[in-house]
Amino acid sequence: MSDHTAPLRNNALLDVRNLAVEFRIFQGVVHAVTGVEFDMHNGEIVGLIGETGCGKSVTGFSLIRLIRPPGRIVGGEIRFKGVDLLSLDDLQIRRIRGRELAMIFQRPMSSLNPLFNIGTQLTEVIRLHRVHQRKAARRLAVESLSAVALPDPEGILGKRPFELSGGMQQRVMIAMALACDASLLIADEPTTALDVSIQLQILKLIRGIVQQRGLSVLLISHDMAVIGSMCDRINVMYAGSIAEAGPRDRLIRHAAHPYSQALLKAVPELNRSEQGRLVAIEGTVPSLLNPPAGCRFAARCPRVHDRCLQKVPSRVQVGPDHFASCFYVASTVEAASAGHSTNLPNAGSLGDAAKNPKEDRC
Amino acid sequence: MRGKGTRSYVLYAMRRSPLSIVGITLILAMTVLAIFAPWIAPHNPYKVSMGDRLLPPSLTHPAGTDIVGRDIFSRIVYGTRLSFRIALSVVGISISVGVLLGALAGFYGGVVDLLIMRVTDGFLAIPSFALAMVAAAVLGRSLNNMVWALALVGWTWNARIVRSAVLRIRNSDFMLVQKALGASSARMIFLHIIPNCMGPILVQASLQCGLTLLSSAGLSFLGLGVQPPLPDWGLMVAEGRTYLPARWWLVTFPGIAIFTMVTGFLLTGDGIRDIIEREVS
Repeated sequence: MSDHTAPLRNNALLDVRNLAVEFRIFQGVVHAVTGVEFDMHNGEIVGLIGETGCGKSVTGFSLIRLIRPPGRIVGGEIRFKGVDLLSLDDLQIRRIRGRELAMIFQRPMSSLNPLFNIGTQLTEVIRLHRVHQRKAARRLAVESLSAVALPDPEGILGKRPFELSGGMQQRVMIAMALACDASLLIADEPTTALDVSIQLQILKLIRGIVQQRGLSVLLISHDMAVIGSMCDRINVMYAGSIAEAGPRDRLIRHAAHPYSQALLKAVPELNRSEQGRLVAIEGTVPSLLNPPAGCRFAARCPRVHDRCLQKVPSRVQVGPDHFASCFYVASTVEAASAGHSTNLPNAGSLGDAAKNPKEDRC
Repeated sequence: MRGKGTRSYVLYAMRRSPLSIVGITLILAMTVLAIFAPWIAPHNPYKVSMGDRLLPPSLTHPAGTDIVGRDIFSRIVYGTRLSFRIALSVVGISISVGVLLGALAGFYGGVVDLLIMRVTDGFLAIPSFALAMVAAAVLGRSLNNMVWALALVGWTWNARIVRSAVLRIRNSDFMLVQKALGASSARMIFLHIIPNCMGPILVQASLQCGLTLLSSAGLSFLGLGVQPPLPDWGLMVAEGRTYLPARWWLVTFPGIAIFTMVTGFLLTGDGIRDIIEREVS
């Protein structure tokens, strides 16, 4: 694969190259992730968007080496602060997890041990990674709870998980993840299980922490409004690989890959006119058990050619820091701008919607 | 809702399950007997008095006397201490072993699981009382050896129960979170998994106390367990059985004692299960 980002690689916080993850099951080998490449810098929010089963969560889990059997990382490189995470032994990776690389999950309601109060669980993490004395750890726990804007942090320390709402629990999870000053947070659909008004609060909180601490966030979501409002750069995933990657505004305005274009057409908008109906993407995601030979989007692509069915397209640069894996990028970009006025949401309107995801979803 | 709330919840759940109250009351009564035995027992349980042999129940000897004139009621009262000692040590050992092996099998899965579970299958394939008899006979007849023999046959069910509880908890979200936060396997097993299995473990421990007492009475009856002159109830039944039916008190009162304590433990176990299941649903 061509490597246009070579100059950036040295100072990247996270650099993922050619990642491949397989699940060996009874029916055969599922190629959940193939050839995923992206990088992240300090203080950046990078989005990973795609539909269910496209491998975005698997990618997130591999970064922190949490893929469980029958899953296995079979190839590639994950460089975090220059260290290849895939070459570390169990003890070394454990020291990085929670201390430098933290992750929050989809269901905050079941992410805490129901038996113990918040204080016990929070100080446990702090004592594991940062300070050993109980008192100091407790002080840090209070600090980290106030950092996630929870009222009465002292009181919350004494509460059990079931006494908190879903939004509060997700705040506690963020506090736990950041209690040891991690420099990269992987947020796997952090707001999917929460109701929309709470979603907005949590997203604002994450953005605020990024601005305050220079934290980097990998935001995984299937929701274009969330990704569009939060991220500096966006990676669009399809069937286990990255279809398109680029800066937020460019990608939304000038999507080059037919899949990203279709995805953007499927975003609902409040002020959409009668003619601008929501467009669904025809067909279904190909099985990753026996993936098709050529481009994985070929079966659903409106601009499919013979070549697409035989060869996997390589990454092509389509603009500054903007890449797409498609043979016919140039023609699709033209086609997209031609069809722009009719059914592609323009970046302006999505930007508005993005600033207010609550309104967008109602 | 900590402390006080939990306590009032337990009281509420207990009221809804009257049998658990009966069980807990029986065990508490037995505990009182064991602790205050020297004050409650009217006579020295070991004191032989050939002049008072085989006396029927009376005011001085509420449960009569045995073949060497020892007061049966006093022996039963002191016997509670022995019974608690046997039940708690057997269950303590077999729960510890069972929890440890069950947790390892459930947590690691694969070869570890296969190995541990096949060993427990092996034990379960042999009738446990027969195995305990053989073990007690081979180790030699004594109280401690009987404890080891009963623990040897007792841990297998515990391991199976804990393993299935661990399997349920292992894949829960908070275990994944713990792993993502950098917790080691030992930390996950001992700090998060085992505490979350305490419900089934407690139920099993209580039921096993009851069943252990039955087996120990059986072994002592056969002469493979507690040795004379200790006031063991099973042993007392064995000693008195040749005088049935004329001297019925020799066997009846120790029998009632065994029945009461076993029932107490079994009902308590059922009661704890009721409380836990109500909480889950």
